[in-house]
This record gives sequence, structure tokens and C-alpha cells, in this order.
Amino acid sequence: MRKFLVLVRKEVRELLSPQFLVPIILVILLFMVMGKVLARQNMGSTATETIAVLDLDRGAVSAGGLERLREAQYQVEAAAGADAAEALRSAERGRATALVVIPPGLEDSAKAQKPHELQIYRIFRGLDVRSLVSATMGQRAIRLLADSIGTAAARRRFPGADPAFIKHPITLREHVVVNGKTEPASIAEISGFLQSQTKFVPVVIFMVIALASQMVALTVASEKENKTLEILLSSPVPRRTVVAAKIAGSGLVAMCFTGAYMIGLQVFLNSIVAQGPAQYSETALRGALVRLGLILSPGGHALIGLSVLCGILCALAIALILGILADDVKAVQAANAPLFVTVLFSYLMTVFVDPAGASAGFRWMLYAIPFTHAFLAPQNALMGRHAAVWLGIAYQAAVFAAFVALASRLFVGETVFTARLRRSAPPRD
Amino acid sequence: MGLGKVYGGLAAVDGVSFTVRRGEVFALVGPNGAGKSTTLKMLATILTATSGAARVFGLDLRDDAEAVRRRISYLPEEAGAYRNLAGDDYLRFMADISLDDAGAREEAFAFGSRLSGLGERLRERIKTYSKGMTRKLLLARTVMNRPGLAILDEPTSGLDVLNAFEIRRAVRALAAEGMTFLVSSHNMLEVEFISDRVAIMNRGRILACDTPSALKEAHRARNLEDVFVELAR
Repeated sequence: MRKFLVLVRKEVRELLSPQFLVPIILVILLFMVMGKVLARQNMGSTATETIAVLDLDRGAVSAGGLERLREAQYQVEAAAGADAAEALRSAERGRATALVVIPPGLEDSAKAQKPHELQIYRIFRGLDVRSLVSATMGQRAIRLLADSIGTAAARRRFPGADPAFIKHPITLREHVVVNGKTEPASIAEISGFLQSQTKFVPVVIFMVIALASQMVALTVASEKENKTLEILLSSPVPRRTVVAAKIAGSGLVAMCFTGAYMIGLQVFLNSIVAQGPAQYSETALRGALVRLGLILSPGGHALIGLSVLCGILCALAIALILGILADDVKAVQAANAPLFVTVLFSYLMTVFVDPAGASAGFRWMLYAIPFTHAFLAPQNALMGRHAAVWLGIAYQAAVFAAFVALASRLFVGETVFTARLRRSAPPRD
Repeated sequence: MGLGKVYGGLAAVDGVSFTVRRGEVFALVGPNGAGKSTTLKMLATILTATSGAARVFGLDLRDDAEAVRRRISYLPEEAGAYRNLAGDDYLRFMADISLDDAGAREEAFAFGSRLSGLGERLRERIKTYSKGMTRKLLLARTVMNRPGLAILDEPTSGLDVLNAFEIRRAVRALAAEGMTFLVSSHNMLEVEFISDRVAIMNRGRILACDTPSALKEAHRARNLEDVFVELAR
């Protein structure tokens, strides 16, 4: 045990070198900076949304609609021009993100109870996130305007009646059903929450698995290249202990990076999620989630953590073997490519495909990849399918044990020194 | 006896037999590709012989590899060390994994530190060391736990005159204290200076084995280089 701990400490110290740490810290900082920038942009987009309006009707109904927009914090500016084409040219030169043209006759149409047409021109000045978010905000402005005109029309047609009832005689009361539990809640908000939970964790898992496998393959290849592995393996330390220490050391460092990545990505995601106004308060949403059993207990978190850990350990054991095949540090990327592609495939498939709905062959192929179970763990745990998570963990543990046994076998013999990815001439001397 | 190693149909070592006596410096000498390093790697339990057998302190290399590793210490040709560790951390790490007794570990560390001759530089990271400093550190690591047999593959390869001289002197001094060395070199003049007995190798075989003076006398040569040329014809 003492020798194992000495070896683990050495592995950790070797891994915590600037060449490993700097890229990781940069990625985390990048997440945080991106999050802050997006948050600032989102705040800016709601505060400064400018709508140009060419009101050719100039009646009380259109004036009421425009007032409603101002009340909703939109900047409404009159478009210069006699017709839509002129107004559009003027709007494009300015800051407006949309032009609304209210043709003449809106007042008369409202009185005569005839549908009237509003012309909307959305001005895209780029395809960045801010422009796309602005487009959504612009749509909301148009809905507000149309709603205001509808209210005015309803008041004229049904004086004394509640215009809100005339416009929406049916109130939709949404319910969400999960595992037999029913809760009145916004479907969109519950769905949004679940998406953030089940998509966020796999991104981190993917990055950590890719990083950890690269790390361990690099350490093995580097030790082979520098011949420190020959010194180590000719020392009186059991070779299985060397294998275990390499996996434990890389696993420990990978776990630290996981925490750091999660913090960085959480900051990033929080800034994106905090865009639109929620239909229900956060407390009400949380209450609904708790009653639906969609808030993970500490046990649920631990279960996901265990599955992720097993996924990382599988990757480390496989990468250890791939690192053996690399002649030198330069060849590590090529040696590690099959593992990286497999992890990427598993990640993308679990994000875009529901394995339960896929064909049996594809489903079992997906389940045969040990990382799939780590990617599926968050959604399985949230849906209360704990048995599926445990089965996945058991499978991952079996795969891990098999690859560790194979790695140990390679280390115990001479294969660790003679195995090569490329066919090359054997050492002669 | 009859030790052999075949790589992909090519015999790198072909039926090599020799005995190293306790307390002597035994050298394998020959040109690049002669099979010296492969022989040393088999004796250091890094490679497995494809034919023949070898015993180190009576222990069979194949059956008692772990026990053999407790009695030997191996320095590969042009080996590096863990670049992010300081020199003293490296010596301590190697002592920690090589020795079970805490007192013996401290003693080995102190001996290794002194032998390396690196003084205060031991506290600096190995990546700041020159090639000669790294080689001295590695030699100190190899012998610090006073192994029964120290196996050194090209111990002075790529070193300048002074560093090579210091390493040769250290090997001779340790041999005088009773440590056994098995070294390889393609530098035949160095071998003549350092070794008690020499095995001249070429194309995986031992061509002759004796003391340097006996070999020179038998072949009426001025030095081992002449002996090799004579034997290789």
C-alpha cells in the first residue's frame, strides 16, 4: 500500500505540470468569460430593443398598441418615410431590429370587425447569439402589439365585456406527469429545466473523459520515450501496482478537473438560461420539480457521480493500453483517436437519440460502449430509473476490470516495451 | 546460458553465455546493433528471452523475476528522469519504491545525494539539469540502494570528457567497495579502463570473453579495438 501511495503521488505531481494545467485553466476561464459576456449581451438586448414603426393609420387603436410596447420597455421610434420601402431603408440605417408597418384603415377595420394586416420586417444584422435572441424579443413585441389591437377591437364589439375573455375564452392549465405523479406546471419550463440538467452533465463528462484518457496515454508514452518506465519496471515494485497507481493518479487529477469544469460550465449555462421571463416564479417551479421527483437527492447525485467515475476509469484503463502502443509522445493522439471517437459517438448519440426507441441492434451497440451509461445516468436518475443506472455501473465496472487485467498483463510481460502502433523495425541493440 | 532474443524473425541476441563474478566490473562491448542492450534488458527483466535461460544470484529470470528485481538495479541507455520532480524528490521516490525499511531508505537517499555530486542543485527540477547532471543523478539512483548487481547500459554515452570521467571513476570506486557491475559500451577504450573482464559482442553473439590484458595478449593487439577488428574479420 505504501508503494502504491508513493506511485500515486508521483503520478499526480507529474500531471500537475504547467503544460497540463494551463490549457485546462484556460478552458475554464473561457467558459466563465463567455458566460459573463453573454449575460451582459442578454441584459443589453432586453434593455435596448428598438422597434421602428410606420403608422399610416394614426388612429386611437394603433396609438394604444404603441403605448403598450413602450410600457413593456421597448424603444419605439417613428420610421421616416412615406411607404414601407422608404421606412425600411431608414430603419436599416438606424439601430432598429424590426420595422412594423401599420397600413391605413386599422381603425375602420376594428369598427367593422374585419381582419387587418400588420407588416413586420425583421432586420438581421448578424447570426450571433445576440441577434438571434433579439429576433425572439422582436417576436414578443409583435405579439404584444397584436394583443393590444385585439383588446381594442373586443372593447368596441362587446362593450362592458372583459376583452381578455373575448380574446382567450379558454384558459390552458398545463400539467406535467412523471412516473405517475401529476403536477400543474409549465410544460415549457419543466422541459427547459430537464434539458439543462440532462445536457449539461454529459458535456462535462465528455470533456473530462477525453482529457483524462489523453492524460494517461501521454504519461505512459512519455515514460516509454524517456525510459523512466524501464527504470520503474525493473524496480522491486509489483507491476500491477504501477498500473493501479497510474489509473488512480490520473483519475484523481481528472476528478479535480471535473469539479473545475462543472463550475465554469455552470456559470456559462446560468447566463444563457437566465434569458426570458419565467411564466412561474422560481420557487413555484422548484416546488413542482420537487413534487414530481425531478430534483435529485444527494443519493441521486452520488449515483450519477459513481457512474461518471466508472466511465472515467474505463477510459483511463483503455487509454493506458493505447498509450503503450504509442512509440512516443507525438504518436499519442493517433493512438488515442479510437477512444476519442468512441466517446464522441456515445455522447452525440445519447444527446440526439433515445436509445429505448432505437432498433435493438443499435441500442445494444450503444449500451456496449461503457461511456454511454455515464452519459445516460443523469436522465435515468432524474426519471427514477435507478436500477438502470446501477446496471450501467455494474457493466462499466466489469469493462474496467477487464481492461485493467489486460493492461496488467501487458505490463507484467514485455509487451509494454515492444508493442507498437506502427510497423517498424525492432530495436537491434 | 545460451540466451537468445528474436524480434520479428531477427535474432538480436543469439545464444549468449557468460558469468559475472561478485565484485567485478564485467563489460559487454561491441558496435551498435551487437545485441548488448538487448542482453542487458533481458537480465534486467525488461525483455523476456526467446531461448536459453539466465540466473541472477541463483534466481531464474523467467520464474523469479520479482525476486531478481530486488537484487538488481538497471540504468537504461540515454534514460531520462521525471522532469517535474526535483532531483532530491526523484532520489527519495526511487528509494521509497525500492526499499521497505525506512532506515535503509534514508541511508540510500543520503548516499545517492552525496554520490550525485549535485549539491544544492538537487533541490531544482530535473528539467533544468544538463545531460551530464541527469546522468550523474541516474547513476546515483542506480547504486544508492547498494544493489547486488548494477546493470549500466552505455553509462557515459553522449557525455563530455569530464562527466564521462567522473562516472567511470564512480563505478571503479564502488566496485572497489565490492559492488558488482555489468556494463555495456561501444567505446572500447573506456571499457578497457573500467572493466575487470570483457565480452566482445557482434551480431548477437559473444566472440571472446576474458580480461582486457588477456584478450590483447591473445590477439597481439595494442587495445580492445584492435582485438575487435581482429575477431570481426
